Amino acid sequence: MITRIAWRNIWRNKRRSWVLITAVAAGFFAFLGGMSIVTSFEDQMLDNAVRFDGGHVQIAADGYHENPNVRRAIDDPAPIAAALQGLPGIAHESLVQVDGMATSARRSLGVMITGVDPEAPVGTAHLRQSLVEGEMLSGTAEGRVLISTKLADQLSLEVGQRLVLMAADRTNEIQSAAFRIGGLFRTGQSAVDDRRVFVHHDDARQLAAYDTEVTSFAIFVDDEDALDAAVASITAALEEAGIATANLEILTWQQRMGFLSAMYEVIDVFSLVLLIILFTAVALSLVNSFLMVIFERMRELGVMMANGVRPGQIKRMLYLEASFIVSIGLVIGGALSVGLVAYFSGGMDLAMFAEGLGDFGVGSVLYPRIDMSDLVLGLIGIVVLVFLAILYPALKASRFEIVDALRHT
Amino acid sequence: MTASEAIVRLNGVSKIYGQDTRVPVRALDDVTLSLKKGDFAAVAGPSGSGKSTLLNMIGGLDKPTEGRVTVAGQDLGELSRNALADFRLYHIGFVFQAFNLIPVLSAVENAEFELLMQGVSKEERRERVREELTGMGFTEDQMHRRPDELSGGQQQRVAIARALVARPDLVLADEPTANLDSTTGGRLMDMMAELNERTGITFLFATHDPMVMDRARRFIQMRDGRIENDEVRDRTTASHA
Amino acid sequence: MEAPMAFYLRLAWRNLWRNRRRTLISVSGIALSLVIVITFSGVVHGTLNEVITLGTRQFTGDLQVTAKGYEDDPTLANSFSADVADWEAVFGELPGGTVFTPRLTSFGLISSDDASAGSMVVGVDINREAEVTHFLSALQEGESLSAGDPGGVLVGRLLARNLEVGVGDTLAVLSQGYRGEMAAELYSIRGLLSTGQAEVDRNLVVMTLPAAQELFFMEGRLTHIIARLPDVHRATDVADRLNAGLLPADADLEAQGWQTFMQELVQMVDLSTIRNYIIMAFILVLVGFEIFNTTMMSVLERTREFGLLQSLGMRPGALGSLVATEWFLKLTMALSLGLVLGAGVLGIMHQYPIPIGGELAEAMHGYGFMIEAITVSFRPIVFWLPLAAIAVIALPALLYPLIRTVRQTPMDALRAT
Repeated sequence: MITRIAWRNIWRNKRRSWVLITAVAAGFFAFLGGMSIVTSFEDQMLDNAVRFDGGHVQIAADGYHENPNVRRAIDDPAPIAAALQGLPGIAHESLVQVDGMATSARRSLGVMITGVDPEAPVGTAHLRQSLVEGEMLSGTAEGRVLISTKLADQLSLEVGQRLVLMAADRTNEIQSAAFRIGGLFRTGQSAVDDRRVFVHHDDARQLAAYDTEVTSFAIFVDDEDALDAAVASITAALEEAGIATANLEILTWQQRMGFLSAMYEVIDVFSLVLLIILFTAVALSLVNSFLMVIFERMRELGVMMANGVRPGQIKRMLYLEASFIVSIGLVIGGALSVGLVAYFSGGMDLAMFAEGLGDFGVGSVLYPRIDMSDLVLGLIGIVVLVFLAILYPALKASRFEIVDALRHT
Repeated sequence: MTASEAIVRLNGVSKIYGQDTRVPVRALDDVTLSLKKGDFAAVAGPSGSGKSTLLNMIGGLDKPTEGRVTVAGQDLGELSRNALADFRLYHIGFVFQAFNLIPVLSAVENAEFELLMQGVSKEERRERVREELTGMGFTEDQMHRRPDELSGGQQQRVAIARALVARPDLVLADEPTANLDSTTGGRLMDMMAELNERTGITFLFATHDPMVMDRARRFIQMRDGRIENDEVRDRTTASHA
Repeated sequence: MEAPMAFYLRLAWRNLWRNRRRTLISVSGIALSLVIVITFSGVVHGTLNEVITLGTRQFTGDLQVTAKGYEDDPTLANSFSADVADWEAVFGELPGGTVFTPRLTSFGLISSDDASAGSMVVGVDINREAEVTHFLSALQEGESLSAGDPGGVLVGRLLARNLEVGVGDTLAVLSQGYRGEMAAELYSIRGLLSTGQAEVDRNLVVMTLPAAQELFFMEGRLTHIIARLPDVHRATDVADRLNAGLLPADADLEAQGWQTFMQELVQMVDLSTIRNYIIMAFILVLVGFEIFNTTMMSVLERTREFGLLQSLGMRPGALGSLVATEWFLKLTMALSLGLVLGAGVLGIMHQYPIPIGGELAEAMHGYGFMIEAITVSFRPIVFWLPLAAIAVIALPALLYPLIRTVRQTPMDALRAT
């Protein structure tokens, strides 16, 4: 009976119900939407940092991170690649990196020659996205190189022109080879744009005097929050394949990039502060709307009590009404948030807001995503808030004098 | 009764509410009526007989579905919303059953409200309002009270004072005594009758209070949106100069 | 004929106090919304400030003065001769709190017994440098350099590792002098620097300025004047002022703010700013709904009263201006209150900053910089932007209730209960 009254009350005064439903929906939407931007920004920062620099987890010969020398290679990469292949939730690419020099007619510059497998799915995708001119490396080694627009400027070179790459190989012999510039990229990250050049891994192997060796595996995981678990499963898979992990180092990005890791934790604290601020805004708007509506209804509650409805039933009615309204509001707000995230699933390019950001390359693209913990927090938070907001009138309903309530205008 | 004497004329006025619904209500059904300047008339009838609608038509609050309403020589159907507002400001005084006063203004401020909108100077406003309210028995202290600090009768008198100081042609009062006890209601009616005689302002009441009907000098009986009976009592012609 | 404005104001003002609870709820709602947006603004700007100063004050400085042409050709040929006393006078013209330090930067081949590597070689004024940048405090091992120690150097951690040397070992620095002379000298390693950024730690040798000037045969010459400003945001303006005639005329110099020489940081700041505006927009959506709802409810509640005013002959437009006046009073009260409270919240957060975990703070000390807490900014934009945003958001929220009131006929009002 009370349930029916509660349900009908909602539709009897539609305007009032809509006020509350929109308040809940807007609150949920704003919270999830705001947090999806916060989350995507964190994702993007991390992504920018690791995409060209070893991925979330890097496998290399022991001691490589401290001293990235071409002499420290993984001599037999095939079993490792095979072991990684079977693991769910991760993608990997192998890299051949050699310190060297790029020489044009104008000048010579120190560069890091990075040999990639153009057919590997992850790392090269980033490279492809950053390409502003020319073409991606093809599947066969044919002496082509990708350099940054900045390097091209400094070397006075254009797409199609020649460039000599020189490096000390693993036996300390100087190797050199002429490459044709296949394309120019711009990542907006000075660490990459200042000194990286990309070639086919077989071309890099020639410069390093490698046969099938690689210098590292860069591993990208789907769930960035479960890195330790990923490292554990990678280690287990390698050991199961009979690979001596003692000769390898398996390092997370936090272990490799101390400064970034510290920065990231600062950002975590900052995000938490943003979350609190957003949530306070939601709380304020909800409590505000609910209080306003409930004070408006004091007289009506008085009439019900005058007709013999018990305070406990009034309380139950208020809570039931709130439950209906909160449910409807949460569904609408949740749908809007999911819709927003889906709309921007292809990426939200912030460069459209500021011209200067065009130079930032893929770094200016956010991928909004709703974090599970934010979703749960938002849901529980809103429900708790609303029930707190009607606690006062519900308590009051069980105590007040009917005559006072009737006089309430 | 000649045309020049008529302050209000209704020609074949009908009002249908909810025309687009399944149950349209004919609140007024082909009503033709005229009021003379100086009339002190009561419209009576059961609830839903159309008396309030009649008053609202004359006051320009509502528009007829059919027919024409002319008040003080103006065809209300031809007036814009602003012109209608001005028409009410200068020609009509309304007294409702309740909620007549603006809650946040004192008695004096409520009474001078229309004068203020008419743009009457402050000195003149104060003088006219004070005179009117004093004449109605308000003390200086009462004049500065807010509506919720006044009795029901006092509130209605302030509403009448507000209508009268604006010097309208016509006062429309919808159940002015409904919320008052009979003594207070009687006194209010006496006061209005006296004002009618002194100033010649036309009064039209909608009521089902027998006491109001008794004191009216013209008595219009309505039923189902039609005028059933319209009688002018002898006393009226005698006292009307 | 219309009633005077003063009357509407009085009527509106009194109406506000008639339903005190409602006014309180809606005024405090808007006011607290403003407090939230101001707090948000203060925190994000404060953090952005930290990020900027972190970027500029670790090594590059807020502002640099170099010879014109150094940017394109960073060699000793583009150096300039300078007397620190003259520069005191130059910076003395700028707002108080500006500090600067001279530097001589070049490149050299660094050799240990076992290996060689190319690296940046920087000569710094040890005492002044510490007032301008942090990198000298990123000491991981050994001790810092003293001003009177021309034979000592500090070396980046990764460079030391690559050369297989440690504190107390000797390094040879080989390079070319100012006029092409052969520059070579032996130095003893006093300490290792770890900034946490591999590019820096792999590429840094620090010595005293006199030692560097002697090594490169360039007594009294510099490549940089590095400055730290009281307000990092004004670096471009200060650079413009310096370029407009404050710089010594005898050398062909130019000043640049960090906005010019740290493009990446500028982009990072832009990106964060846009991100912050998007989040702020979400908060403003909430605020918009809230204002709309409270305005709507207070208008609807008074349909009857508005009907009375219309019956008395108030024109629709006049009624609209009465509603707008009330709303405007409410908004003014709410915004003033919010501004005061917002400043108060920021004041409290300034007094009692939110600390960042102890372990983390420690880790950061190791890198020679400190963000010990989430700090807040009191820049004017922190206040006026939220204020303007809410005022603008509030306008459309008023519009519908206002239109409704103006369109309302007296009969709508009389029929409403």
